[in-house]
Amino acid sequence: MKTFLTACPRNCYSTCSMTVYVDNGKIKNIEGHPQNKATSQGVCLKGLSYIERVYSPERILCPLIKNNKTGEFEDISWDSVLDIMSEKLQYFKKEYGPQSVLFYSASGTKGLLNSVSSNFWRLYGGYTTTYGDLCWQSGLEATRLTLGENKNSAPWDIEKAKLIIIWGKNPAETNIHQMSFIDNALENGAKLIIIDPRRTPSSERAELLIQPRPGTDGALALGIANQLIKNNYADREFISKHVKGYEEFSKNIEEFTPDKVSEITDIPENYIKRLTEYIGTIKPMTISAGFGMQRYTNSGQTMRSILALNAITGNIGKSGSGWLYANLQSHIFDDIKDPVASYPPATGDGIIRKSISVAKLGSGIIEQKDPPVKMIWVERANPVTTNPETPKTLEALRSLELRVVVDQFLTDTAREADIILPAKTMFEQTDIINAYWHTYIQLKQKILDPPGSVKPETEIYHHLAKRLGFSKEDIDRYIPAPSEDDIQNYLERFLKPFPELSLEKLKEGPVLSPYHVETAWSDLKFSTPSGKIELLSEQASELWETNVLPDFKESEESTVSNKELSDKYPLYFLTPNTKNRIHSQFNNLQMIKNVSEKPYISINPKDAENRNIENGDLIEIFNDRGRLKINSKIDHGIKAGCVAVTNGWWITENGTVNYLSKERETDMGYGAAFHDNLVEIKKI
Amino acid sequence: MIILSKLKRSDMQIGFKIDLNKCTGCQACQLACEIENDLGWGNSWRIVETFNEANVPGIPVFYYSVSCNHCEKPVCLKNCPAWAISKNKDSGNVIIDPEKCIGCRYCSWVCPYDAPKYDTKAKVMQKCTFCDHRKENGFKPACVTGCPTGALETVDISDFKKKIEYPGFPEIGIRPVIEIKHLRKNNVFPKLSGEDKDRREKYNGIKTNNDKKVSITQEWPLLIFTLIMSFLTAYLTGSLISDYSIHILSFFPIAVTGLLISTFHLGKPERSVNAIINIKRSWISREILLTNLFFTISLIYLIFHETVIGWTAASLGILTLFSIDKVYKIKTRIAVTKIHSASAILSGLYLIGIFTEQWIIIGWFGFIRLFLYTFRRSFNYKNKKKGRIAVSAIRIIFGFFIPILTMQITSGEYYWYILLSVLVGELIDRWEFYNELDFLTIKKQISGDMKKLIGRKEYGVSGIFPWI
Repeated sequence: MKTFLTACPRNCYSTCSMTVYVDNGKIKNIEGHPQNKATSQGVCLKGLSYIERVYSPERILCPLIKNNKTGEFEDISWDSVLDIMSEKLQYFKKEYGPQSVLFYSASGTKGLLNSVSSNFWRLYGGYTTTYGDLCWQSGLEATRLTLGENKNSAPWDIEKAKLIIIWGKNPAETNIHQMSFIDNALENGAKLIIIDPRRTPSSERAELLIQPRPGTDGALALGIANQLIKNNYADREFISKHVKGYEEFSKNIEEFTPDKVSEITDIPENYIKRLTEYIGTIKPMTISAGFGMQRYTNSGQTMRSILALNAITGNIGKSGSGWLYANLQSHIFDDIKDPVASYPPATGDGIIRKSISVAKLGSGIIEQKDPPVKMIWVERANPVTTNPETPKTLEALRSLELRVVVDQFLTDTAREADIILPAKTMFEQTDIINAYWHTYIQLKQKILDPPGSVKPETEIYHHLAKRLGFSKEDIDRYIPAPSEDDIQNYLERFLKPFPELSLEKLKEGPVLSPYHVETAWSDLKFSTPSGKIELLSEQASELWETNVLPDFKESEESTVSNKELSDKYPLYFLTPNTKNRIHSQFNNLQMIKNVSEKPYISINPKDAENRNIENGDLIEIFNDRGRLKINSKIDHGIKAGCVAVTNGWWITENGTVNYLSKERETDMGYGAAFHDNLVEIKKI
Repeated sequence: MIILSKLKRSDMQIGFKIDLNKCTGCQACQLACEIENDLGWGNSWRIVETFNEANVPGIPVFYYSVSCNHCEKPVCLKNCPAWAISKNKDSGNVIIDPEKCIGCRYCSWVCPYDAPKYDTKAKVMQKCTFCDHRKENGFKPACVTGCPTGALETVDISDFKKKIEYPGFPEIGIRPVIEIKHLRKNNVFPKLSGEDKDRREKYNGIKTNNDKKVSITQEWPLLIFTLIMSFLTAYLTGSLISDYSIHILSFFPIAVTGLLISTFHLGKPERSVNAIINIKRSWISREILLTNLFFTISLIYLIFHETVIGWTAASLGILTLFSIDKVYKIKTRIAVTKIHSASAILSGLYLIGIFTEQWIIIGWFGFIRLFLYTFRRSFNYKNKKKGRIAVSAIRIIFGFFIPILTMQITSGEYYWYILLSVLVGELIDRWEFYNELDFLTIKKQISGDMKKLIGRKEYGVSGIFPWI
């Protein structure tokens, strides 16, 4: 039995190092790898399920083409499919211009080789792509505006906190390794507070579970800030040295009194006061904020408001204190870091047209002109399931002349394709990956040869590039040849600027990024325009037309802001993540199905009683955009007025939550506000 | 009620340790076990149980990751008729030998942790081996290595002398080799800002009746066998009392059929002869040995018609019925009352009455059984256990009223109809008994305790969960 070291490239906080046991060319077992201090114990159940995923009988192992008469997919040889595609690509380029091709990729797989795709499309002559991101934009932008960049303390630093606030995050299911560090802190006497409309496995060992009305977290933060200031808990010395706009901020939030905030957030006043007391008196405090609450139309301002709590209590720059949101210190290979990297450039280069907002993919495709989109190439993504407004995404895809999807399985998006190209798994090509919770740079090693006639994406592009007649110099430079040596040479080029990194070194184990810090901002130097923590940010107003200060506005689709709508659809529809999937990945595997067979909707007993719903009833969830039929589960832990279905279920599993969500952008960062989503439910 | 588990250990033994604070119910251990032991997806030897799934406020949600606890005095080992289970002297691991197991599943009846699982492919019982095979390479069990939070660990339990209380672990003296780290006093459950006390009792979602361990669809051969044993014992004993003659051909085909049918529920019928190996400790072994002795001596009696031999055979029959009843009395798991209407021995005695038409026997045992049956059924109806009143009525009418009335009015010409009617009643009684068998599980015990917490006006778990 041979062992290999590798790392999991999914869009997940933990980004685990893994030991893979291989016997006779077959993976026999997968374990965690202790060299990654952040994930030193076991990998999660999804990581274990790769052992099925690689060998799944449902995996696509050769190119498929849809027979337009029968609607069925048929096998096709690589030669023929590459011929068809190069002919089509030449046709679209000639007939409409290269930007009639939309290249759409998402977070399905991390890796530096992903850059080969954009290299190819650039050499093709140009293409259309998307800006923004489904995931984390408004929080990234709020952090950038306030602190200058997205930098966090090391994952284990939270152990030293005496007060931990997990705000809108469920690490037990999305970042399980953080739970170990939290538990160690609790063992040392720290207090844990969770802010979440749902009672999750993460909230179980907390002292308080604060359950705000969805989309009002910002008001809660401002209310706490108001009380901190009123009760003299603000760290005056820290503020005077390192915070810009404190006076304006404290004046601006005077109206956020406990009674008013209680009314907005639906949190009893005594809880707001207790929370203030804790934040004011217990130090150091770490706030770990999640992605769920920053998918509302007001979420950039929400995140700035929460950040203000760190700023005014001086909980930045010291061990055990801080702001954990996204740690981009391992993102060392890009010239520009997120979120700015995913914004449309101020002036286009005439080659890449970043013109469609990810948050509005469907209507973006439909409305695109000059040239209109005629063909889509989808890679590492399943937009039909994961992007807002599934009906619109489907309509857009179906309006195109050609759809090419690269995937391992017949996903909802792949089903819409004319051509499906088989995708590699993480074990079938070497690559280098970074992370966004810890800062390890890790090697994802090639362990197996791809099965069947599967070709890694880089190889597909290599063949296409030759067929399309790209110059040899360009191909050599931008699109590595299929051999392992060529791939490694390509990767080495990225590592060159960093003497501490080399493939040889990465083969021995994960390496901390050269920019890794144990305690973020310990130098108290902030790369904001003022060099201080900016509560008052002129940039915020210039870029996003928001108030220069954090403030609170009701989200667009709320029971307060839109009475007319909420009379019809009075329930907030939450679509959180589960431990069993990464968005729409993994749930097609039997190992996962055995622990999570069918989608269900969590309903508070009060809401259920009002609608005569019993546990297990078949429920219709509906709004003007769509409907879903799912069985009910009575959940005392979910806030009354909210219902929840985990995201990522496929259409074939009857649980695609984006049938109900809306294409909408967040107030900053071009994020997707798909949690602004009111519904009604009824028993059927 | 929490039943305490007093763990006093002397020998060195490594066991599992679960930290309830750290476990988030992620189920990685469950999958790691499947992979390591090549069990096929969904057949893990380790199961993660969730408590308070409905998130009822004021009550903790927590998880138990349970597999075999490699007990110091394994109840599975003691009860295995084929002696297929052993405890390794050096490691302390309790191991099932798949080459010896006859697939009778009885170990899964007696183990209060549901550790032994039936392997549908190999048709034998399998369970956690503490990853014996990994130990050679210095590796911990796969589930422990696979735990992402460190909640599942191994621990040396040899110096464990103090008394520990584990929720859900019944005190039955089998000494599970496990350590459970209880929830910290300060972190039991969160206080919810949006909680709703009014609806706590309603929709609590806590189910206290567990999955059926014994189902009639699987165990019908045992039901038929038991009935045949009561029938034949009564038939033979009756002939000694009432002096009717039994033709060898009216006895033996039934006996052979009974024996054959009883092997149907075994995973490995070809190994059924091994079932008598553990005569020293297992009631199943004793039952099977006695059955065979009863048949053999009966055969000799029916050939030679020697009264002494006849009574010897009858006594062996009664003893067999006694041992059958013993098999169903599992103090580790099943709360069967000492005496109940479906008891094989009572059934046999009543049938003796029917065969001999002795009113004193029919009267006494008919009355006792009618009383016990009514009591048991009404108790179970009250506790909402499965069963239909109409079926119970049929049991009473066919089992008691029809035969007794017919016997009163007629004079022997409807004898076979009477017997058939009685047997219908017996069949239903026994059938219902199987369906009602109530297996104690960790889940059930803890859920029962949680239900009590829900009923309280004030929040707090003290008194009910003494470990907090």
